[in-house]
Order: sequence, then structure tokens, then C-alpha cells
Amino acid sequence: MSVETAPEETVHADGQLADAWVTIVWNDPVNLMSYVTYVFRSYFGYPQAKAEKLMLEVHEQGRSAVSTGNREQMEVDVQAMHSFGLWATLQRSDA
Amino acid sequence: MRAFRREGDELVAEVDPGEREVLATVVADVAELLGGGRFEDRARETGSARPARPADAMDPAALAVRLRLDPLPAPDDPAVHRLLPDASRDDAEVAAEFRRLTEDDLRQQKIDRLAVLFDALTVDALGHGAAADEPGAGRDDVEQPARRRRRSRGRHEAVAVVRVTRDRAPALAATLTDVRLVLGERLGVADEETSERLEHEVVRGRPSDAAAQARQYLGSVFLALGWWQETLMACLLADLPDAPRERD
Repeated sequence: MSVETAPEETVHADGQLADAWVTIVWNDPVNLMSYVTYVFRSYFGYPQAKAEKLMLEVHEQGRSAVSTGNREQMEVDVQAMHSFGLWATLQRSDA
Repeated sequence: MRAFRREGDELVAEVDPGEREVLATVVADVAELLGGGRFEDRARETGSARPARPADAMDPAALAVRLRLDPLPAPDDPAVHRLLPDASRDDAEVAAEFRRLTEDDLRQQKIDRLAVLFDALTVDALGHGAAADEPGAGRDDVEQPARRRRRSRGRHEAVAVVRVTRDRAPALAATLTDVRLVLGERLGVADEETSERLEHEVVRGRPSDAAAQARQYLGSVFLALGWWQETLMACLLADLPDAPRERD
């Protein structure tokens, strides 16, 4: 009986997780900047400065990667963002 | 419509009678779009827009929803689609799987939150407001808020007080977001430019026909809700641990 490493824990030579996904939040003209900041602070627990930086990325660049993890974790985050009324998607991490 | 303020463990804001009715109607409309039935009817019959009891875990219909095996198509109505968006822009498999697993729960959660706001604007608001102090505001009346409103002009005129505990306030903010997203979609607010144009229309527009009047009216509700939510967010952000101090 061989001991196997779980697929999601396989680490590549460059230190990246093999199954790395990312949650993207997209800009929209309706959501308030204060509300988006609040969501990033209260849901992800990010400090004010980081939450504001991510919010401004969404606002000015149209999108921001707000969290990373495996696919299941990102599905949880995307569902939470949709619950808050933010448009979020998940995708494989480019890194 | 007044700004939200903190009162002990609650956030509180007054809403004028006309605004209250309009808001309750818009909230009920959004719930109906999401498949939540007619809040007005349920409130008239049971005294609350919320279902009489939580969905029974053994209810076969509820169970079937939870064990959804077939894919769900994306909503046709763009406003509903905005509330239940695709979880991927370029991977249909990821989007379909996400929708199958989450849409029923998201939909129900949004409907439940809208019901809480509807009650806050109708049953609860009048219970806390001046109307409750009027003679004859008995239990029967409380359970028939819609009929009561129509019957009594005095109560109709009462300023409603919307109260929400701090732990319920984020859900209220999310619901105001959902309502504004639907209004924004209906009003064609697609980017900063259309957003600014709408603001101009609402403030300076001279609507020439009924359709333009309706649009201006809906636009004013959209903008007022945005302002109201800002005042709620100011309270919520100030309550967070390392909130930025307000400058003197």
C-alpha cells in the first residue's frame, strides 16, 4: 500500500499549488465603493488599507483578484460575493 | 428618508410615508422577480412577508431542490441574471456547475432578506412608529397591515421607523444592493457615463410623457436608495475594529 499525496496538496517546483484558483471581483456602476470595501473587510477580514486597495483596483481597472485557494474554496468565496451582490467569478490562477 | 444612526445595539432610520410605500413595493417586486411570490398577499394573510415556518428539512420539495442533479439554465431576465450571475466568463462547465450547486440557496437567501426588509418597512415599521400609539391599534390590525393602511389615513401618514440590529445590518445592506442592482439594470445604468446621465435626468429632467415620468421617478428611487445605503455603510464601517478615524 503506497502513501499518496492528495492532488490538491501537490506542490510544484516553483512553490505554487497545482490546483490554484482565484476569485475575481468585477466592476459595476451600481455598487458603492464604501460597500465593496466593507464586504472585503468583513468577509475576508482584510485590513482597511488592503480592502481599499482591492476596491480601487475593481473600480479603476475593472477587476481585482481578491482571494486564492483551491476550486472548492473559491466557489465558497464566489457564492459569498454573489450573496453580497458583487459580481465575482473563479478561474485557474495564471501563476 | 433620513440617514441611519446608531442607537445602542440598533441602526435606526426614519422613512416618510410616501417613500415607505414606494420602497415596500419595489422590494416586493424584486422578490417576485426572484420567484418569491407576492409579499403583499402573504403579509395581508399572515402579518409577515416571511413564510410562517422555515422550510422543513424533510419536505420532499425542499429536499429535491437541495439534491438538484440537472443543470440550471442562466436566468433570462437580465436583472435576475445580475443578482445570480455566472461564476465564470469563459468556462461554461465551471459556470454551470456553480449554478447547479448554489443558485437555489442564493435565490432563497435573497428572497428571505427582502422579506425581512419588507416587514421592516410595513409591519415592523408601523409597530414602532406613531401608528402603534393610536387608539384601536389592536392585534388584528397588526396582522393585517395592508388593510390597515388603506383604512386609516392617520396611520397612512405616519413616519415609519426602520430598525435593524447590528448583526442584521449587513444583510440589510446586501438587500439594498440587490434592489439597486435591479433598478440600475432596468434604468440602463451600465457604466459611469449612463450613471451620470441618469443623475442629470432625475435632477434636471423635464419628462414629456408618462414613460419619461416613470423613468424619472424610478431614477429618483434608485438615487435615494444609494444615498440611504451610504449612510448605513458609514455606520457599519465605523463599527469595524480598525476603522479610519473621522477627521475633526
